[in-house]
This record gives sequence, C-alpha cells and structure tokens, in this order.
Amino acid sequence: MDKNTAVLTLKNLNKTYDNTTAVDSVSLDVVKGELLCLLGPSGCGKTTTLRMVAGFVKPTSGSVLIQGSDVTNQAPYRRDTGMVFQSYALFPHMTVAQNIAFGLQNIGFAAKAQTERVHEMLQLVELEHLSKRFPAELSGGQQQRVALARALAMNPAVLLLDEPFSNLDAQLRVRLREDLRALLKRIRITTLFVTHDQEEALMFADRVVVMRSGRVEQVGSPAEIYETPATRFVAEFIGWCSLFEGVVDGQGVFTTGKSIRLPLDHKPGPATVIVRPEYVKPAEALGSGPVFEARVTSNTYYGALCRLRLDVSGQEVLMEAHYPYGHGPSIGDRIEIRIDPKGARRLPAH
Amino acid sequence: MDRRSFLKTTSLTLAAATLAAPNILRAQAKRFEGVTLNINGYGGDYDRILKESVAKPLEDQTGLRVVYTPSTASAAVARIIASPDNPPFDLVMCDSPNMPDLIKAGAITPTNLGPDVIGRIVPSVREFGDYGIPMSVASMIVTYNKTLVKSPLTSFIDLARPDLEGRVAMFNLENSGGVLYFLALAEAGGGNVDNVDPAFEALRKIKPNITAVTPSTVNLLQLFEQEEAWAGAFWDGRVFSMQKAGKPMALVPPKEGLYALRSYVSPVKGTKHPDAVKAYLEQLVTGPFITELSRFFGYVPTTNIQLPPDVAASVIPYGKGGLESLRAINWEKVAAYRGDWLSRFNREMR
Amino acid sequence: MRNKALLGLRGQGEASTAWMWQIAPTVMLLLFFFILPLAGVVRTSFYPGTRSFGAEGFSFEQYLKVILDPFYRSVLIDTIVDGLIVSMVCLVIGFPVGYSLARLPPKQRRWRLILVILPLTLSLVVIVFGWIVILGRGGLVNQLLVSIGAIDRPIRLPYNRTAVLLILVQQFLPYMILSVMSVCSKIDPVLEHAAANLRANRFTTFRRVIVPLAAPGIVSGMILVFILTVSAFVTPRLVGGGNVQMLGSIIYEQVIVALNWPLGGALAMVLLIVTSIVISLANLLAAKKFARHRSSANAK
Ligand SMILES: Nc1ncnc2c1ncn2[C@@H]1O[C@H](COP(=O)(O)OP(=O)(O)OP(=O)(O)O)[C@@H](O)[C@H]1O
Ligand SMILES: [Mg+2]
Repeated sequence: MDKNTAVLTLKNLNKTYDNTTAVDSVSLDVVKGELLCLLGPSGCGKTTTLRMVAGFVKPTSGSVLIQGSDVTNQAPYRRDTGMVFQSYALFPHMTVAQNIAFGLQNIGFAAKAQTERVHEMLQLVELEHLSKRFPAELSGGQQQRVALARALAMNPAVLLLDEPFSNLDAQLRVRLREDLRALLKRIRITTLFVTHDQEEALMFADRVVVMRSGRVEQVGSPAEIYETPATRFVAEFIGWCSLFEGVVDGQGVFTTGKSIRLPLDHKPGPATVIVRPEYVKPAEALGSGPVFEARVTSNTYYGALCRLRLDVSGQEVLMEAHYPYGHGPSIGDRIEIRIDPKGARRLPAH
Repeated sequence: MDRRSFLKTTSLTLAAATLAAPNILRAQAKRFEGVTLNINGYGGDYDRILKESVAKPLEDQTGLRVVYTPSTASAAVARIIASPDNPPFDLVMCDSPNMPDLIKAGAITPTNLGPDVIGRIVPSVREFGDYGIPMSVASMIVTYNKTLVKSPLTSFIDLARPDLEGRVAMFNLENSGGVLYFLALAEAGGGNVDNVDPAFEALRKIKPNITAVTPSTVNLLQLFEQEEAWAGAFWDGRVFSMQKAGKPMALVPPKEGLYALRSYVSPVKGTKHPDAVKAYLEQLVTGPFITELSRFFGYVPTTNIQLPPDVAASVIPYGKGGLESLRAINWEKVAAYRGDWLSRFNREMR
Repeated sequence: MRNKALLGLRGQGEASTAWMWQIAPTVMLLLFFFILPLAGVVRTSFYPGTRSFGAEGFSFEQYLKVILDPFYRSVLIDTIVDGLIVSMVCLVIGFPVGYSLARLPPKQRRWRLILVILPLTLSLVVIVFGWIVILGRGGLVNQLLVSIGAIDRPIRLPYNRTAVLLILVQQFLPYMILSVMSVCSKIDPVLEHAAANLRANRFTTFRRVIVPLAAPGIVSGMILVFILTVSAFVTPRLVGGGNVQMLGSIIYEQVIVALNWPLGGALAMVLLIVTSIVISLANLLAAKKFARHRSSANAK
C-alpha cells in the first residue's frame, strides 16, 4: 500500500481502562476514498478505536495521523473528522437545516454560503422537503441521513461511521446500505466504518479489518477475508464453515481421523482446514470430487437455499444447497455429498 | 440536701406511697390519668425548669401529662387567634405585649383561681386583672463591656455617646425588649405612649453608634459575647447569666427608669381540660417553680414566697422599691401602635 | 380507568362520577392547602383598621397605604432586585456544579449529592447563626483575611446587604443545583461529542447546545430561588442588622408581632402579584428565546 496516499494512519494504538485493554496495538492505513470497515464481535474495541480517531478518547499510547500530521493530542474540535453517531446525536432543539448549518457556522461560513451548502447537502441525501422539521419529527432513516449530511457538509478528511445501520429495520438497512455506499463512492470520501455485522462489512467495505479483543486479527478485501481467513476466529466469525483438524501426507492428501479425505497440495504436516458450505453439494449437483455419506442432523430453510448440518462418520460438515420446489432432506435422512477440494482452505499455522 | 434532690426524694416517696395506697385512694390521686395539656414553650432553661418543677411533680401526683412545644410567643399567639374553634394549646405562655390582643380576641379566659392562690401573687405584677398568672418579670437594662468601655454608662441615652461609635447593639421593635427601651426613651424625652417622637429623636442620636439591631435574643447575646458590640440595652436576666459565666458585662438599671414586661401563662378559651389547667396553674404558683426560676435566672419572684438566703442574695437588684418601682405601661395602647412604630423604626433605622 | 374517564367526558352517568372521583383528591388538596388560605388572606387584606378579629366591612385602605408609601415601594423594589441577584448568583455557581454532577457516574455522584442536599436538612436558624459566627470578628473569614494580609484588623462582615445575599445564596443554591442536575442528566453526553466533532469549542457547545437544552431547568431553578428569596424573612431579620429591609420580614413583623393582619395581608398580596408578574415575564422571555425547541416538543 502506498503510504503517501494514506489519509488516516493509526500507529500502534493502545487504550487501557483500569484493568481492561480495549484496544491493543492497532496499526492501520486508510487511503484516499477508501471504505475501511472495522469488524468484530461486541466489546472488541471498535467504537474505542473510532473515538480515538475523533479525539473523544485519549490513547494510552500510539498515535493517530490525519493527512500526515499527528493529531494524537489535538482536541476533538480541531480534528478534520466527521462522525455519524450510532444514535445519530442530532441536536433536538434545532431544525434539520440548523443541524447541518451548526458546523458550518463554527468554521466561519458566511450566511449565504451556509444556506447554499445546507441546500446542497439536503439534495445529496434527498431531504430538501424536510429542512424545517425537528429531529423528533423524522423517521429513523431520515435522521440517519440528516446526521450524514451534517457530517459531510464539513467536507471532512475522514468520515467516521459507528454502526450507522443498527437502529434501522432489516429492509431499510439493506436499501440504505447500498445507497450510502454509492453516495460515498461518488464523492470519494475516505471512510472508517464500524460494524459487528459481517454481511454488512463484506458488502460495504473496500477493505475489512477484523478485530478480536482489541487486536487486529486480519486485514484484507472482503473476498480475502471470506475466502482465505487467516485464523480460525476469522473463519468462524465471517459466515459459516466446516472445520477439519487432520494431517497432510506426502502425497498431498488431507485426512482427519474421522474419514474425511481431501486432496490438498500443501506441504505435509498437521493442518486445520475449513470449507465454506457452498463448496459442499449433494453428490449429484457436483461433477467431481470425493463422495461422502452423510446423515442430516438439521435442515434450516432460507428460501432460495437450505442450510444443513450433516454428520459424516462423526465429523460435522455444513452444507448450503438449493433444493428446487421443496425443502430438501429431513433430519435423519442419509444423503451423499461431495466436497469441492478447490474450496478447502488450509489455515496458516500459528 | 439541695432543692432538686429534695424534690426528687419527695416525689419518689410520694410515688411509693401512691403505689402502696388502697385502690380507691390511688384512683383519686391519679385523677388526670390520660389527660395531656399542650402548652407553647419558651425553649431552653425556662422550659427545663417548668418541666422539672411544674410538669414533673404534677404528673407524679395526678398522672397529668404536659407537652411543651417551643416557638416564639408571638407565633403561638397568632396561631391561637387564627384558630379560635380549635386552639392548638390548652395554656399559652406569652408576654405583656401579647395580652391585650388575646383578651380582646376572647382567646383566653380569666384564671379563676381561689384567693388562697391568687393572694400569693405580688399585686403590682398583675397588669391584666384576672387574666394571666405572671411567672416572671424581665426588664430592659443598660449593659456594657467593662474592659472595653472605660467610663460607665448610666442611661439608655448614654448609648449615643461618641466613644461608642459602631459599638452599640440592641433589639428592634419586633422584640418586646425593644418596645421597653423605646418607651423609656419616649418618656424620658417628655413624650408618652401616645407621643413617641422623643424616642425616635433619641434613636437618631444613637443611630451612628449602632452596629446592628436585631429581633433575636440569641443574636444580641452573640453580639456582646463576640465583642462585636460593647454596649447596648438588654434583658437583665441574660446579662445576669453572662456575668455568672465570667463575662465582664455591667448590669445597670437605667436612669430613665425600669421598664419591664411580665411573662404570663393563661388558660386558652375552649380547652377541653379546665380542671387540669387549674391544677397546672396552682402547682405553678404554689410549687417550687418560682424559687427555681429565681435561682437560675436571678429573677425577682412574682409571688410572696420566701426565697432561701443563698437565692435571695443573688437575685437581680431592683433598687429599694423592688417590683413596685417598675414603670406602668399601657399595653393596650402599645398593641394598637406597635405596627406603626415597627414601620417607622424600620424606615428610620434602615 | 382512563377510558372510563374519557367516556365520562362524553356524558355517561356512571362513568362521569368516576372521573370526578379521580380528580377529587387533587382538587381537595389544592382547595384546603392553597385556595382557602389564600382566600382568607385576600379577605383579610380588605378589612379596614389594624385588626382582623372583630373587623367588618370592605376597604382599600391597606392597599392605598402600601402603594402610596414610598418606603414600602422601595422595599418592594429592593426585594425584587435581591431576588434577581440571588437567582443569578445561584445560577452562575449552581450551573457548573449541577452540570458536573449530572455527568458523574451514579456511584461517584451519590456522596456529592448528599453534600449538596445536607444543608437543606439543617434548621435555618442554625445555619444563620453558624454564618454569623463564621463572619464574626473572631470568625474563620476574618482570620483568613488577616492571615493572608488582605486586612490589618478584623472587620465587620455580617449585618449588611452583602452578607444577607451571601447567606441566601448558600441556602437556596441546592435547589438550583438539583434543578440543573436533573435537566442536564437528561442531555445525552453524545450531543457534546457531536458538537465538538462539528468544530464547536467548549464555549460554543455550552452556549448553543447545553444551555438551550438545559433552559427548562435553568428557568425553573431561577424561579424557585427567586420565590424563596423574595419571601425570605429569617435571614434578613437576623443578618441584616436593621439596615437590610426585605418585604418578607416586614410582612412577618406585621402579621406575627403587630397582629396587623389586614396590612400584612395586603403586603403579602402585593408581593404575590409582583412576584407572579416577574415570573410570567421570565417564562415569556424563556419561551420566546427557546420557542422553536418548545414547538417541536409540542408537535411531538
Ligand atoms: N469508558 C470505559 N471505561 C471502561 N471500559 C470501557 C470504556 N469504554 C469501553 N470500555 C471497554 O472497552 C472494551 C471495548 O469497548 P468498545 O465500546 O470499543 O467495544 P465495541 O467493539 O464498540 O463493542 P460494541 O459492538 O458492543 O459496540 C469493552 O470491553 C468495554 O467494556
Ligand atoms: Mg460500539
């Protein structure tokens, strides 16, 4: 990655509260126009990291650089960041337009320039008709867009979003997510974005940082994170997968004690292998690959596909399959499956 | 054996005798069993002496309970006048200035005690005929700190002396003590209760010397004790106890004459226990109360009781005439004019 | 229950009594503890003469006396000014305290809150005499001033207007603190972060976010302190030393000492009316200033 284009840089960032380490040696670069997502389970330090960038939390050690200059000890109101809070934090006593103009007044926009900019922002988020409303008179989605317009109006170097969709219902969430991504890409704003929803991270981000108890577990594009997880934690946190513990022999064959055998051209030795459920198929649906006999232990219907838990001689295997016109096999049924060897990933040894 | 332990022994013997007596006798002795008398209180040592030498012996003999509720006498009087149908007290203790209004409002009744009891009271102390039993007499005297004031003061008007600049404290007219020196100043200047201009003239002369006027006895005491004030007009009894405590305060009967008020206890109209009220008053006049009051406060007794020599020796000297030398005061007129005097005092001394 | 009450409004016999029963306690309470006594005071203030017992007739005598006398007028003005000063000073001191209490975690807040409330549990007379000792020539304040060389010899501190106002501020500060605290604890701290993130410095955040949102608490706290101050009578009488006249003590003297209830009643009514006017003005001003915010609250 080209260091020169990094808009936001975190160097060895640490934050310790009395006896908990919230953030532990986090280092990151976010380049111009990039959508970077911090992903991790609850309490892993995502919000704390974001707050250190905005300046609300003082790091225990390490530094934050925005556009090359060290802002670690700078007051929040001097930093060139724009934040959309999880609760939106709109000022309840100001109208939509006043909320957006608030920041502009603080950086010395003249009255006319303010009005223009507010209007421009309202157009951007398609809320011109609501400019005189108060926050309490807006829906959740509308409030979120006002919060976004308010932050974007300042034209910040870095946009910070803390779980911006968590207060919205599922359908609205999916739609707004797509709209927001398109908008952010269009204005090419550098964005650091926090979520604990892996699906959201994968579809929204250019690059995902997976965190676990304050540490960075893996950094990569959504596809890298999904397809080639660096650790078992990442593999399990991002989506579903079957996990096999076994050994690779000299011939490039991976075996577990429980009769899973897969060709794997890796160097010999003990290995942990994961297989995403979409690489496991009913035998008849996949042309090649080894066939295993499996007993169905659960089958959950998801509409377009079913998720099955299978028992292959004591080894749990997860499968996602499409069963046209029906629900597929029932619990206890014996079926034949194939595992696509190209979908088997060996986790790096630690 | 001192008086208090004598009292204790007597009441103990009495109690024992009562217990040992046959049932009929006991029923007769405890004729006020279950009866409670409510009386306002003056607070402090006055109430303590009342409890020890009036309420306690009475309860031991008759089972009568007496409850004292300390408040200012004026507030008690206002409450009684305000609720004529349901008076809060059975007996009211108040000073001469309050009596005319209580009588006029029909809030108290004559005492109706037998001549054997009434006959013990010094006739000149009874200002209101059959109304009220006088318990004690308090006079306004001149006082000064003997270590700080070099040449002695002999009269109220001496308080205008230039060497006392900023060092004089006295009551305002809210306190009845203020009314006493006020009347003294009026009459000494050739005026009377109907013409108090001379009093205000004298006050104008004293005004530059005044550090504070106050309605509160405790406040005034504090002023003398902290040596914030070096001279003033004060209650004889309070100066007497300051002297006993070793303060170098002089107690000077003023040249203007002795102006005093009496503290009365009167039956409240509408009491449900007239017999108990009568018993209380009899005990107060004939029991040890008057002696104990003289012993503690140095008050001249209001009855013809023979004080023990040690007590008699330490009573506040009133000169040759004793209680007969006190100036007569027309309290009806004082009550009628008091409101106007208060306003005028407030504006002139502001 | 509620539905029944609503039905009652539409005139259904049985339900309408239920509705009456519901508001009856409130009405009775107001009637007995507020309206009846007030009516008594109003009636008394229209008696002629200096006593209410045995008095008859109807007269404006007392009001004329109060209005025409420049002394009462100047005391009234002093009293109102004192009320304004005390409530302003309480606001200036009480706001930072109330605000910081609101921002403390509950555990740390508890004992500090007890410290704030403690003075309210003490008898007023005890507090006042305590102050007189502290302010006396041998008292703490004088010792301190002498020891730091601010004065050569102890000076007289109590018995003037400043001392009276100081002690009134101390007495009524807790009300302001509690009022500000309760409203500030309802302001989401994240709003302050949002303001900072929008480049507002501390002062701007305070002025444009915290103050408008805390306005209801500020106004009610100030009104409370104002009312308490203009009706104070113990402190001015004991600490004023005769120089400081406030209407409360004058009313007290006329009612309790002189038993001149008609005049006392008229003075009390004048104080009540003037106080109501001042409060309404304050409310109006606040409403005007924060009208937009309020309108949104109403619309919701
Ligand atoms: N002010 C604080 N004092 C003490 N501990 C804190 C504080 N703020 C956060 N923590 C701790 O730091 C850790 C990280 O918290 P953080 O809020 O960053 O988590 P998160 O990843 O945002 O979680 P979530 O998804 O639930 O929002 C947690 O263990 C939390 O308890
Ligand atoms: Mg969080």
